[in-house]
Amino acid sequence: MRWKHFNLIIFPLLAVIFFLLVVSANRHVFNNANAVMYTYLQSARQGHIGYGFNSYYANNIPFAGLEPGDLILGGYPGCSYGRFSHAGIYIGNGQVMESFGDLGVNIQPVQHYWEYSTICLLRVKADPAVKRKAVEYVLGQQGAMFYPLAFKNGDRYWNCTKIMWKAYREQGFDFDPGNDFWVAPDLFYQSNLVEVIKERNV
Amino acid sequence: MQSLKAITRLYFIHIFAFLAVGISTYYPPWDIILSLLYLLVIGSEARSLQDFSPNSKWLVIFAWQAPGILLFLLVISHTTIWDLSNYAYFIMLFWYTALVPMLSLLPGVLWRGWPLYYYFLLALPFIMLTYHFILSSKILITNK
Repeated sequence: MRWKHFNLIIFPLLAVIFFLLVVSANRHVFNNANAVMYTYLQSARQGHIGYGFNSYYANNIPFAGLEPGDLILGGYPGCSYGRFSHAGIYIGNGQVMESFGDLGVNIQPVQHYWEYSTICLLRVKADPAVKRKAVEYVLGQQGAMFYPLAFKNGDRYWNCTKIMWKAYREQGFDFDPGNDFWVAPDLFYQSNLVEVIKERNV
Repeated sequence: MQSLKAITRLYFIHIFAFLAVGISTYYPPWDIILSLLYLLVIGSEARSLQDFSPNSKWLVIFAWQAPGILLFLLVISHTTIWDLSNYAYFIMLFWYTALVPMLSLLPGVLWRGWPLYYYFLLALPFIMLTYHFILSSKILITNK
């Protein structure tokens, strides 16, 4: 009978304990009005949830001139966490490494970014050797698990931005100086560590 | 009434395990420990079904896994309307958050273009049905 009570109490209790631990270690995130969770909540209040209205928007941006280590951001209208909903890192030969739901950390042809209504190509202001190492890092994670709310801690769960953030963080480039729980794609766009190569809205 | 109580208990445990495991992923490897605890707790709930009639037992087990089975069907239907299959997969990842730490331990091997965890996630409703069925079976009673 005691086990019956234990089964019901244990997870609510653990949820509260871990929640308090996370909150006490991250008060700066809760005090930051620009934190990803607040952006998401604000969008949710306006009726926007998820990555927006996906379709094939044919932005047709030219990918010529991309170099390994460049970053690609794509967005659909109505995305709940910013202007951009998805991100990937160019690895050369017309391929991009990204993390997505059913595919995990995977390689895709760069042309699939033509489907987004908003697209931006970014160049990280770093030596080619640094970018090469960042590319090597993401290649080493192929097949790893995607989880939408992957916290930045740990190496077992990834989302599209965490893999890029971590690849460059390992080389000393931090795209999230505010140390949020998650890295929104827009943070890469706003960072002074990159320059915009091209962008397009259709 | 007995079945309804058992179903309610399972959903209560599942929803709070989703919260606890989800938050604990911030502190790896605590997520793995909590996921194992979830399997133990669910196993203990399954054992309490041993005295149920077969029909009641199946009702409880299927009612508990119904959301998972529904999401599985939506994913494999490859419905493109409103991107339903895609969203169903996302929801399935969330629904099985309590077991996601187990999936994250699988090697990053690709098979036919998809990683191993993809197949295991889709199989989870049926793995959990089997797990629950075996543990609720009277065959396992040894010292009663």
